[in-house]
Amino acid sequence: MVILMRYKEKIVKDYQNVSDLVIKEVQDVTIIYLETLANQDKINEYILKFSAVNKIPKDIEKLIPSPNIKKITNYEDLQLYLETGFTILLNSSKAIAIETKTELTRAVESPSTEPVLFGAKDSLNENFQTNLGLIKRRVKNSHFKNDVTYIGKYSKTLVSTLYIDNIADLELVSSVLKKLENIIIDGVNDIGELKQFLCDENKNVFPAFRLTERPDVIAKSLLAGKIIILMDTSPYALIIPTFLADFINPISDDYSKTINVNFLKFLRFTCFLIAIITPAFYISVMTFNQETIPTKLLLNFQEQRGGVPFPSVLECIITLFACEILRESDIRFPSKYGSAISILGGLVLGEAAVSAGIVSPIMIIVVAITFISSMIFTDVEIMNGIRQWRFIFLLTSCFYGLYGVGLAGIFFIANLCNYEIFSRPYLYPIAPFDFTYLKETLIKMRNTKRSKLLSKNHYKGEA
Amino acid sequence: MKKILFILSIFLLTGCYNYRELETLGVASSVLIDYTDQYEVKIEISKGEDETNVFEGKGTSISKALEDAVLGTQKELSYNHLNALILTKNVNIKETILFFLRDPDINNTFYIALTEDTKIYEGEENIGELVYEILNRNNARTFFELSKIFFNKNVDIVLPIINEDLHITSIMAYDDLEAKKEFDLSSMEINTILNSKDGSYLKTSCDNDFFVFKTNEVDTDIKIGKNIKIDIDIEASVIEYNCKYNLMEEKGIKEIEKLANEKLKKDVEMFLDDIKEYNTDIYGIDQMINNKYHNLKKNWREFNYEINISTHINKKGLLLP
Repeated sequence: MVILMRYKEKIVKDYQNVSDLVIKEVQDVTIIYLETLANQDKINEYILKFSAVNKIPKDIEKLIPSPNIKKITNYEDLQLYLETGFTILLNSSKAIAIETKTELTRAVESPSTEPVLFGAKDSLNENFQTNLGLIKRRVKNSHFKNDVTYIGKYSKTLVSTLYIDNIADLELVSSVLKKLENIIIDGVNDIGELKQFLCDENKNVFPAFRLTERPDVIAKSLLAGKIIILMDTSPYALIIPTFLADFINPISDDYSKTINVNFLKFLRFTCFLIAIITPAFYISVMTFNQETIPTKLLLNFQEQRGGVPFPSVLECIITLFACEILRESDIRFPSKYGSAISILGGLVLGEAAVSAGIVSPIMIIVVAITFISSMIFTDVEIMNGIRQWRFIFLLTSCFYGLYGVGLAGIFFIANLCNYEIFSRPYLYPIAPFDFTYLKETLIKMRNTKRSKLLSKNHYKGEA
Repeated sequence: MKKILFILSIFLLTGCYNYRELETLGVASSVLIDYTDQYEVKIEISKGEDETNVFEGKGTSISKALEDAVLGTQKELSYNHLNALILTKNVNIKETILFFLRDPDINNTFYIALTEDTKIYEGEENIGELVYEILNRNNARTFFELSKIFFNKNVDIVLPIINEDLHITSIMAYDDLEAKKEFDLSSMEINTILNSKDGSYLKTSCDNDFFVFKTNEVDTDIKIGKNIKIDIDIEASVIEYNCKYNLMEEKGIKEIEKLANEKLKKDVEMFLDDIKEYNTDIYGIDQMINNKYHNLKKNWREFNYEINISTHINKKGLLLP
């Protein structure tokens, strides 16, 4: 009893200068809540209305009609509940927390970064409960588990690890949980920030994890044996492990005819290479390996390059930089002004720069092809990765021509082969080769098995 | 730090070999080399689509003459897209081929032709491309194919001869890179067949008239045994027909196949006798003999020929009575 009375004193002391703290005394019960996080109507409905009429009995939690009542055993729990929108009831014999959270989130909206023409139109929002609910609508099984941890000394952000215990690799689950537990930080704002703590090394410029806002992608990943990390306040979920092949495999492929999808997959893979290699290949052809293109094309290029005073490499770097600036400003600027930037950029780059003789028209074509190809990826991180490699390829090609492109290619493949995420190779299913997972990523074929690297439960549809 | 220095040294100490900006290149389409008391060259440089400039130069060596030709253009000569190399009969072929072989950036799919007329650039534009098309259509050997033979002492080369109007007038057969015998156009067709290449138009007489057939597929097999056995299998179609045999009947077709076989056999025998006479081993028969009978001290010219020709008229649906 003494301890319980001390809780109140402690709260009063700890929460000095906290304007939204409300402490009410009703008969012999102390009611404490943070009015910014708690819903006033719920407090009235569950607690005040009830306690004002009757004398509060000792077994109060049995009488309160709230669906979520927690028993408080220590002061840390009390603080956590208070700060997550619960109302604390203290009386002489016990302390309980009653869920009275207010809705501080937006409604379930359509996906903004991963839209599909035909497919589910719901997406995650900043509310963990809503997000979990959206996933549970798709995976209805008692084997679907979610382990909860709180990260951040001050933010105490709820982070949940989702997996299906008889499909997912439990060793991977425990290593993910261990990593999450070892994160010591003041606060975490978004899942993008959290993922920095989960990958061992940041030498690879390609993203280590895939972020998604689509519950159907999450459900598919869970069924494949992957692990999902959900975080309160973040409208994205993290998929672990992620391979490079996953990025060129949007969910809409599952909803379309196989024969058409395979062509699109091939197209996407080609775009991935085009986005990296095209400027380097162009520079090689223009400055070293003129023999590789047909004579008429070469003469055409020569004619177009005639008025440009800069070397091809410099011209290429200028144009790429201008496009990067344009893209960055397009992302940062409010969308209402976006079209103005596009027109301005299009005019400056496409017309004026050519007329002014700063760049040649063919360079605009090369850079446009490069940028359009990189835009088929929805993930900004992979676009950034592609950009880094584009410049590495460009640098080697301006010293060695096509031989340099080959060297950079070897370096690129070796670098990717060397990369592992939670001991899973990043280039999987190509290296190591696995036809089972290949059928789900780089090509689309009927598949009855799960990847051996992801799950020990090999056959789909079996317990 | 060491790593960065290592990477930088890789780029800065070894890179940039052969770096040439495209606009500084003079893309040669064809080169004509003549030799009197010194080398005289004409270089045709592509300017744009179907436009060329011809530059002339003189010098005591090929390189000096080429340098002299492009002196005022501020361009660096590039043979990456060379279509044709045209030589006069006075030019030393060995020296010239070696000169172009030494250029690491040379395009090896161009053709070499001989000419007696150095005025071929007067009139038409883009001679290089025209010569390329003509020689390509006539199954001439590319520079790459020629250079393989060039280093093989047991095989001799054959070069086409073109006139001012860019028509092939004859072919020149060499023995150890020394011009030996000039053959006429009909011999060129036989040479094409013996090289297993199709596309020849062969005129054959029948009674007082003639018919022309085109080879669609040729398979020539040269085997060394007691004699030199040459089997030629030809799939051909009739192009012109003035004979009395009815081609709608099997018998008629057999008759003209027989006539074609006889005519071809005769021509091949004549051609082989000629090359035997001038010792120009353009099919590498000597090498075949050496491969089969090591240390046989018998020259290919001492062997007899056994020629089997089998012509089949296909595409019968195109035949009219």
